[in-house]
Amino acid sequence: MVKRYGYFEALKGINLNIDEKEIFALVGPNGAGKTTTFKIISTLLLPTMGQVKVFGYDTVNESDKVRKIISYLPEEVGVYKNITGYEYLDLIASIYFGNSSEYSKALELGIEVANLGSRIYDKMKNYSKGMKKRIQLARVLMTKPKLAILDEPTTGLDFEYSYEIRKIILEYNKKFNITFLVSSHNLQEVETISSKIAIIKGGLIMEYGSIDDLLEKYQVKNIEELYIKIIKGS
Amino acid sequence: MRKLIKKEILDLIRDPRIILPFIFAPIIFLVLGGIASQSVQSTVSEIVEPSLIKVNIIYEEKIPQDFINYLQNVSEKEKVIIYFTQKEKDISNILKETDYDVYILIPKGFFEKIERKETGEIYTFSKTTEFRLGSITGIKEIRVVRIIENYIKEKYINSTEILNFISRPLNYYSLVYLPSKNLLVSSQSLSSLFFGIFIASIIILSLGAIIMQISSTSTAIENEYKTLEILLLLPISRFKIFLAKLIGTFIVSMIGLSLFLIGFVFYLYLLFFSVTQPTQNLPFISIAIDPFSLALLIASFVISLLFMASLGVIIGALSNDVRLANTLIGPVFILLFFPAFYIIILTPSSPIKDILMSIPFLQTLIFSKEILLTNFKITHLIYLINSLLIILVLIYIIGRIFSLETLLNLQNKISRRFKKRI
Ligand SMILES: Nc1ncnc2c1ncn2[C@@H]1O[C@H](COP(=O)(O)OP(=O)(O)O)[C@@H](O)[C@H]1O
Ligand SMILES: [Mg+2]
Repeated sequence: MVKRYGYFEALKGINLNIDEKEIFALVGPNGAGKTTTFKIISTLLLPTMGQVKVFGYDTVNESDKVRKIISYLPEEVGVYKNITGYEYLDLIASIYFGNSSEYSKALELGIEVANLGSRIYDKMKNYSKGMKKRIQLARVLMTKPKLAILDEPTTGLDFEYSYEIRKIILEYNKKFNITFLVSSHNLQEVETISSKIAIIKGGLIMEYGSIDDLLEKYQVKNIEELYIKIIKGS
Repeated sequence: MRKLIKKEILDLIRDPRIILPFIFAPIIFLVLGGIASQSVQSTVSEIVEPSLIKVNIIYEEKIPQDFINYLQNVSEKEKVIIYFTQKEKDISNILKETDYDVYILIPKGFFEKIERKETGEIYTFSKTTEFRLGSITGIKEIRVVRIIENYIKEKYINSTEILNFISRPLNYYSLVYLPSKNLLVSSQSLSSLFFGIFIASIIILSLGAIIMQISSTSTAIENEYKTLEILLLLPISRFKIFLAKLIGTFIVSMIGLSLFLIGFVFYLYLLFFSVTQPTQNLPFISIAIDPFSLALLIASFVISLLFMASLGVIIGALSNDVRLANTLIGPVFILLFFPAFYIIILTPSSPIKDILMSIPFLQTLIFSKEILLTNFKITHLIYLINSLLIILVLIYIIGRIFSLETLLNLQNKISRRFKKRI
C-alpha cells in the first residue's frame, strides 16, 4: 500500500503478511512510516493506494467489522484527566460488552493488566507516564482483541515498566491467542518478544521474515548487526 | 533590553492569533456603527424633513367648530391629515381596527378646562408591532401635540391671562398600543423595556459564546491529549461518538444554564409587569406573556444551545490544541454577532427576517425581543421547526465528516494557516 500526506509520500509501497497468533515487530528509524502503517491498519487513516485486510475484512469498506476485532495503542497515549483509571476501564468494558457477563470479566482483566493497586481509583491526571501506558495497555487487552496493534509500547518508559509490558505481551499472546503487531526501535526488545520482523525505512519495507531466516540470509550473528547491515546497505 | 522588547513585539506581531482580534475590532465597530446610524438616521430625518402623518383625533364629547377649523387650516403646512372619531367603543377597539400614525384622545371636559384657562390633558397613542431604537421616540406625537398647543396659544394670545397657562397650556401622556397583545403601555416604559431586552440579548449572546467555548475545548482536548484516536476506534459508529460528545456538552451546558433560564423567564415577567402599571382611567387588557409564546421561546433557546454546542464541537475537532480552538471561536462568533446586533438594534424586513428567524440562536434573539410585543403565532412555530431542521442537517453533516482522515486533512490546513510563525 501507499500513503501520501498531501504531496509527501510517507509510505512508498508496503507489502506485509502477518500470520494469526504471531507477535510481529515493525522496526525502523524515526519517520520510517511505522505509525502511518499502523493507523491505516487500524482504520484511522485511508491508504492512498492499495488495500489492507484484517482477518479477511477490508479496512476501508468493512472498517466497522475491523474495529470490532482490533485494539490499538497509539504511540502518544492520552488519557482523560478528570476520570479515574477504574472509571475509564469500566467505560470501555461497557461499550464493548454492555451488561453481559463478559463485561465484568473484561473489567477484572483490565484491572489485572493495569496492576495499579488502589491508584486505579485516582484521577488519571495524577498518573505517571508509565501508569498511563499501563492503563492504555489494559484497555487494549481487556477486550481480548484478535489483533492488538501496539505503537512503540515501551518507548520512553523505564526498564521496569518496559519489562512488565513485554511480559504481558508474551503472556497474553499465549493465554488468549492474541495476534500482536508491535513497532519498536529497541532491538533487544524485538528479539525477546517476536519471531518475525519487518524492517522499514523511508516508507519502504527493506526486509521481512523470521529473525532466524534473516540472520542466516545475511550471515550475521545477532539482530543488531542484521539491522545495521540492512539499513546501511540500502 | 531594547533588543528584548523588539523580540517580544516581533514575536507577537507575527502570531496571527494575536493580530486577528485587533483587525477585527475596527471592522466590528465600522459595521455596528453603520447599523446604529441607520436607525438614528431614520429618527433624525423625521425631525429635519417631517413626513406626512395620518392623525386620528378621538373625542368623547362634542368638540368646538373653531378647533376643527384650525386643524384643517394648518393641516397642509404641518403635513398632517386629520380624521375625527367619536369615542363610543373601547379605545383599544379603535386602535385595533384602524391604522393611523398617531391617535389623540381628547377626554371629557378638556375644552371646558381650556375655557377656564387650566392646563388641559390629552393622551397620544401610536401603534407598534416592532421594536427598534427609533420607534419609541414619539416624534410624530410631539408634532401633533404642538399643533394643538398652538391652537390654544393663538386663541388666548391677545388676552392677558395667567402666564403659567400660556407657557404650558397642555399636558400630554404618550402611550403605545401593542396590537397583538391588545395592550397599552407608556412610551417611557417602552423605552426601558427596550433596554431591558437589549441587555437580555447581550446576555444570551455571551451564553452562546460560553457554550461554544465549553464544547470546542472538550473536543480540542481530545486532539491535544491524543485521546481522539482511541475514541474513534471504539466499536461504535462515528456518528454516535460525535452525538455523544454533543449531548454530553449540551447536558453540562443545560445544567449550568437551567438557573439562567429560570432567571430569564422571571426577568421577562418582571419587565412586563413594570410596563403594564395602569395609568389613570385607561383600559388595560393585559394578557402578559402567553404560555404558547413562552414555550416557543424556551424551545428556541434550547435549540440555540444545541446549535452553539455543535459549532463548538466542529471547531474543537478541527483544532489540534485548545489554544487554536479558542482562537477560531472568535471569527466564528463574530459571523453570528453581526446579524445578532442587527437584530437587536433594528427590525429586519420580511425576506431577511424569514431567513434570520430560521437560524438557531439568531431566532432566539428575535423571539426574546418579540415576545414582549406580540403573541407568537403559528408562523413562529414554523420558524422553530425550520431551525430544528437546520440543526439536524448540521449534526448529520458533521457526523459524516467525523473521521480522522478528514479531520487530519482539515486540521493541517487550518493549523498551517494559523501557526506559520510559532
Ligand atoms: N499528518 C501528517 N501529515 C504530514 N506528514 C506526516 C503526517 N504524519 C506523519 N507524517 C510524515 O510521514 C513520515 C512517517 O511518519 P510516521 O509514520 O509517524 O513514522 P514513524 O512512526 O516510523 O516514526 C514522517 O516523515 C512524518 O513526518
Ligand atoms: Mg511513530
